Amino acid sequence: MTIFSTIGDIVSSGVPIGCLYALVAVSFNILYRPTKVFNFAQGDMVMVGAMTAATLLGFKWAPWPIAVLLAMLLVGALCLVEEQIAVRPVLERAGNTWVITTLAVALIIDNVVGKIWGADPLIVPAPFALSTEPISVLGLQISPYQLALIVLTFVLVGAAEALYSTRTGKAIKAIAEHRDAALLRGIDPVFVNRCSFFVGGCFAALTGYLASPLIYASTAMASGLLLKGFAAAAVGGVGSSRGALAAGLVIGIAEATGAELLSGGYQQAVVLAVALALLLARPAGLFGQAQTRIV
Amino acid sequence: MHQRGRRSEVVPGRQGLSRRTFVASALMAEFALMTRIARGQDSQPLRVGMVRPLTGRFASSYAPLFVAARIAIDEINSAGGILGRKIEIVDEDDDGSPAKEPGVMKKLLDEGVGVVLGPVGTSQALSALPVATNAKMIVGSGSFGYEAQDGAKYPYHFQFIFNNFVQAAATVEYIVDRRRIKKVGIIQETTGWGQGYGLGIVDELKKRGLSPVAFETFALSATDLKPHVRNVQRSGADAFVLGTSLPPTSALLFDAIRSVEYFPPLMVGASGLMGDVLLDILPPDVLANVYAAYLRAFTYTDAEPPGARQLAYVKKILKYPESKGQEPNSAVSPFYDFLYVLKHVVEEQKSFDPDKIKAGFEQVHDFPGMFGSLSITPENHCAVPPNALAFIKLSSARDPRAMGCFRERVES
Repeated sequence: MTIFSTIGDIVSSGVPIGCLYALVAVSFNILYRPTKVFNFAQGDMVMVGAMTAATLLGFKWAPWPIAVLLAMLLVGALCLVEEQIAVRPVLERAGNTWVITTLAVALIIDNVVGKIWGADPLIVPAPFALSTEPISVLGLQISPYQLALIVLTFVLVGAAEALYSTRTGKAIKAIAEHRDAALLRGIDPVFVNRCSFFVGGCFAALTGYLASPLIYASTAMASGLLLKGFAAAAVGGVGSSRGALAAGLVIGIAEATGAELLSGGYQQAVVLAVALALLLARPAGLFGQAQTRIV
Repeated sequence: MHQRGRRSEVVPGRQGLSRRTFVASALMAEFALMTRIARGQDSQPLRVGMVRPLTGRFASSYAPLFVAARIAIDEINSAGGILGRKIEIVDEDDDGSPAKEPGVMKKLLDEGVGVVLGPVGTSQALSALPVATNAKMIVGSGSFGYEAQDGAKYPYHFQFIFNNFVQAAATVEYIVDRRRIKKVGIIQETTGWGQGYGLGIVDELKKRGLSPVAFETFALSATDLKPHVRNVQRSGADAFVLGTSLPPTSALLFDAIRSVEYFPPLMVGASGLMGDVLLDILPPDVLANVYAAYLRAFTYTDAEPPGARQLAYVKKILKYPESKGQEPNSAVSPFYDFLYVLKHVVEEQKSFDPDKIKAGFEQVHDFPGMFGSLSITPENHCAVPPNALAFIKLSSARDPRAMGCFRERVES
């Protein structure tokens, strides 16, 4: 075993998984930017998206794009319901009680899915009949689907960043900057919040579907993706999609390095130690900007 | 007068209550009392708690384990109950959460429940047992952890399941003694079950003067097991012990084995490898080298079909919709044999006193259970010995002879 083969193994394991963490982090950010709410049910939204898509694909009556679209619409609607009953009422009264209410939504979803789906994971074939069998690319053992996932992640992150250059994106940024001032300029924060929750839900479902060919769709997938997606969002700089991508890759590679070189259950500690070190060095995250407030 | 007086004293006495009348009345009263007690017992069913997740993520996956309990209860009640008392189920939802177990056990205690089936899961059972032990509740849990077999620590708990130490002992015996393989690599999950299983494998290897050539550990939240599998591959292990208990992690492990193309001559695991979806991940020729520990009573070979008693039991299991897709979990549930041993012990002791039941359980020797010959000692409360296990071909799950619950046994 040479050092180059070890590095190659770490990269081929860490980068695709890191891309999944980045996508979860981006879905966090889509909701967070206008609302300043961290949706603790986001891991469950990813899971519901994955399980719904897998179930619809299992029926074999719809091609995969239709199945994925339906899963995205369902989870988008679920997020919209969450916004209506668990987020907006508490935001109107101010305070940070959304921590509890979004956590409550996560627990409710967790309870309900146990009645619908069992513990068995569901196999989801990769789209476009891409293979998940590894092939040798520049000395790396990586599958065509993993390569496609990496490319798609960059595209989706680019699209999320580009969204903020549009009129709607600027409205979101304005609300993030100062809610009341944005309202005075004719921007409806309630409508923008709703749209963000819907789009964030759709994005979470898409992430769940994209993760399924690699880690299988299962009701157990929510917790792992929530934790590492949250870490990627925080390390990257909350609200920054580019930061989420960079941090997701760092976390994926740190995790693969821990598993490759340490074993003995230390790989989780490696991930958290890297996240801690980065946040100590840059408290606002890799791409975050320190905010000043005049008092 | 005195005599008359004495006579007059005696006469009423003789007229009112002669010795014969007294004895007859006493016998009748005794009979009436016994009848009343018997009627009272008939009308007072034996309340048995069922602790299980009725809500939450584990609800549908744990439900199949309780099918066997319902079959046993139906059979026992149809045959007159236990000492004339019918069994009545008291359901309690623990949400599969260890934190809720002490409260659930206290609630059952308040409801007058003295016998409990469940909870399922090692950490869940270990959280429930201190409360149950203090209250002298007779518990048959669904814990696969070796800790729960300790008769000194949990004197009122009895384990009718092949725990992780039993599986580890049978696994090493198969790999080293029967297959003559000495280079053993292990991967284990960081659950209570996984850590006990890995520890048991290492202990059993040590007894044979061996140590594992690779020992990998992963957290349940891991999303990629390829680095771990590669480490075992690099160690040159000829036998790979797969310490996963949950289908999602088993699927990730199989996927990693396929991706890094590590196909050692032998891969052996526990009952966590028996999910149907796993059969589609590995190529058939690789799957042919993957075996799992399973109850010998539920295995068959070309020469030896399953036993008639097990066949009848499996036919009942298959009638329950909860067992669909989870047939092996329903079949090897610990509750069927636990309930029959409870009936045997209570009827032998003629008492529902927990101390007498405990003493009776500890005297069980070679009880002809559904799982095979069951024995309990005061020190070891696990009724299933390593020799009750056999190794089965995972690929036999889709053999029509398997009927969902049986598996083909490997003889060498």
